[in-house]
Amino acid sequence: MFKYIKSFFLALNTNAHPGDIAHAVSLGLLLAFIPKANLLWAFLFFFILFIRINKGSFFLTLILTSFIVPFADVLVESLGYGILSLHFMEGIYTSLYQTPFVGLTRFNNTMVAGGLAAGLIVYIPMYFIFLFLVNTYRKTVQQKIVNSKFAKVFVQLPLIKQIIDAPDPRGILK
Amino acid sequence: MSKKIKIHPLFRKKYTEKQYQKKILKKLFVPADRLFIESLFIAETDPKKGHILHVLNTEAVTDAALAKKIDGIAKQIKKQKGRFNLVAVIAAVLCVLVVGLALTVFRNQIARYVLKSALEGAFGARADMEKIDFDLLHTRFSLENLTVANRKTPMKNLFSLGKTELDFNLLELSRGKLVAKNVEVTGITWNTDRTVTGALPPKKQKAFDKKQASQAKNAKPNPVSGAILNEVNKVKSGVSVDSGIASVLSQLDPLQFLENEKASLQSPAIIADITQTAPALYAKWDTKSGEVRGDVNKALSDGKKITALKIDSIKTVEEAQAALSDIQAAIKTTETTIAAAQDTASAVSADSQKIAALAKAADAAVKADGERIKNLANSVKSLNLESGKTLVSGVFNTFIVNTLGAYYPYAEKGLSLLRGLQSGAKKAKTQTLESKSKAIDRLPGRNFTFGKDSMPALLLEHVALSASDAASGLSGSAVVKNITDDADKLNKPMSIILDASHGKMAENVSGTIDLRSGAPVLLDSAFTGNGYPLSLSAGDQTGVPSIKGNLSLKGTFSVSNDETVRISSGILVANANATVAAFKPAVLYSAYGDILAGITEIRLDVSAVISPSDGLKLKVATDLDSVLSKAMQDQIAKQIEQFKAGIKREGDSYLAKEKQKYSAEIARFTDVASKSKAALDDIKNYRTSLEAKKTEAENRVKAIIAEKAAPVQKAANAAAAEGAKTVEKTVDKKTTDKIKKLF
Repeated sequence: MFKYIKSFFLALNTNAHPGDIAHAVSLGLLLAFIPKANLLWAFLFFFILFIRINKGSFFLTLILTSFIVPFADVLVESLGYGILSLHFMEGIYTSLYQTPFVGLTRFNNTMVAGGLAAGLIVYIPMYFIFLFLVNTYRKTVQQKIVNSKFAKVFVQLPLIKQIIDAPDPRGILK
Repeated sequence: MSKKIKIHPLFRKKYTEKQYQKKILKKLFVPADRLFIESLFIAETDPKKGHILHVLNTEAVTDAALAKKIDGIAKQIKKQKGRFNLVAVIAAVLCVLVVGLALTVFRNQIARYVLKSALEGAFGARADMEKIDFDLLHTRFSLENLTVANRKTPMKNLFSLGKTELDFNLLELSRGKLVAKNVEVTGITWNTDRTVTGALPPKKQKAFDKKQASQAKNAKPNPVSGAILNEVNKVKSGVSVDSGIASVLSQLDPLQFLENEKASLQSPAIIADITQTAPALYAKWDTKSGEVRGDVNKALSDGKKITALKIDSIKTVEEAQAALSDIQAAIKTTETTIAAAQDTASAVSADSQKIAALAKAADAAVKADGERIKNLANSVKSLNLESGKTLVSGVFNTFIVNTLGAYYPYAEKGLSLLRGLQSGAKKAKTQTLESKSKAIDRLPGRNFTFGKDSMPALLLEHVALSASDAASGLSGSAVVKNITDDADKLNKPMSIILDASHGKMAENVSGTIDLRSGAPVLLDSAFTGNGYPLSLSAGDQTGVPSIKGNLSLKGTFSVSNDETVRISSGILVANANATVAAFKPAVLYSAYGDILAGITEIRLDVSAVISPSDGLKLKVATDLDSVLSKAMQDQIAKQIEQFKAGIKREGDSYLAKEKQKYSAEIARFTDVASKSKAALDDIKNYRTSLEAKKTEAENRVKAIIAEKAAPVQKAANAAAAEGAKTVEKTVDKKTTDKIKKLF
């Protein structure tokens, strides 16, 4: 966990592309929406690992939003039901359903379909929001924090030192 | 000399305006870093081309800290690459291909490992297979010569399968479901010898034992099996006595009859009273009476000298006075003995009256009992044969209960297995605190089905099994349809047809197992079987026949959803041979044996209902029981008069023995009483004779005085009077002394 936090803060405070963080957060949220234990989730997870994003931000978002996302399950389920009930898509769904191994994605489950749709829907807004937030932070807040006495004391706190001393994940995660 | 400061190569290059913007400034996303780098770059003119070049002013980098910062920024810029990591993607694709290839190449090894592990985990013994082929392309799985060892006898195989072929549905398999149109298993054998031990390595064995112990701990006893087991325990020691003829024979036994009536006779209680009271009184008075007799005898012995005195021969007054004195002393001594003898005789007399009263009552009771036994004997008209009406069916009852006890647990195990297989039967896992803290429950969602309806996770539509074992001569085949883990989804019951033959024996079972929710009947089957050699031993039970023959049966077996088991079957024992061990009375045995000798076949109707609440209710009926019962009834009717005479004879004999018993006790006590009275009489007679002697001595004294001293009669009279006084005083003194000694 600490290495993800460290990776996130490193990316935030160095010259990492803001899109790295924004994409990572959006993808983490997308994956958090989709229930696990199906091939779709596994496929997306491994796909994301091959994308150059900030993995710390991705894992942090995935972990943290996994606690929040269940509160939206009713909406997600309704969304999935709506998507799977679309008549014009029935042919595609049937073809997919009758194709070997596609069933392992459980795309025919309302939670999986709804989760994927919800993740995709929030992807772009989340991307731009985080892009804006990162840029704003770097322009206005970062220098103030770096130069403040509070930051100098803060980095000396045991927990923060532990995070700072965590193995540099950039070589692994980024 | 200062150390030369090394600048990162990125910042040692010269950039055109366009390159400077693209490669440096646009890659700096932290405004402070951008300003810092911009401040270090200076513009210079390209001497050849004349355009402006941007280059880092190395002179501005004066210290190592600054150079380090520049180096860090350069590294951050260098790390910025395209969004997709093409090398990693290629590597991943290669990995997937390698894994796919490995799965294809090693699929059989993987399948072998998975199957072997599953079988060893299930049976707790080694599982081996010669050839295994998991052909994804042709959606076929085949297996040759699978052997599973017997855990209890590792040098034997529990079972082995010659060839197994399974055509599976790839689409459903890709959905994690095993759906097979055809499963064919041939060459099933069991209990064959192994060349190597089938025991698992200790580590695996330990894991299996642990699993078994856990399952045993969680296993709940089946109420139906429990009911059958109770019944088996009842008949375990052999045929129930109630079903034998012993109870009938006991009715024909006068002694048994009398034994049953003893509780209502009057005499036993009174006789018991006498036999308790009389010996105690006898013991009490026998000693006391002996002591009195001893005292009396001593007194008589001591008094012999006195009684032998010849008073007439006394010549002098002095001699006469001495004799008189001795007599008076003896009288005094006798008084004590008389008193003791009188007390004893009186007390014994009182107890004698009590014993006499008891004897009188006993005589009256014996007489009344004799009358009662005669009347009872005369009232016997017939005997109750109810308990003897189930002789043959009783034997089969025991046989059937034992058979159910042996085989029903297997049926129950099979049904439990099928029930457990049902996806709806899966138990909800109890959540631990750890799992609760980890789990973030999501809604399960709803599953849409597109196109053809989805299958259950397990469906074996048609399973054909064939077995033949040369060693045991058993061969058989079975066809099972619609084996599934979700009967509700399939909406079809499972059907079974089983044929087996071994030697002259053959069985056929056909039926359905309906595991759908709400199905009223779980198992509904019909069965036939024939050629079973039957040998039922009656054991030590009197009158119960031992039966041999060939058994065949035809019936139905059903299990309803409330666990109630119903069995209905007709049983035929052909070539029957029924024999019975000899018993008394011989006439009854003879009649019974004649009927049994004529039996060539036995037909029975069996119906059993085993419910968790009411236990086992088994009815076994055969016409043979009524034939046997009637024959015995006829014979018993002929024995009634003899039976009555026997009761009277045994009754008289019994009462005579009882009378003899109490008469002896009374006679013993009467003897003691007589002896006590005789002692009293003897001492009284002795006293009377002493009194006579005393009178005689006194008269003799008077006579001597009159004869010897007439002249001095006066003086003599005076002397006599004086002598009498002296004697009296002496006697008084002696008496006083004796009384003193008494106290």
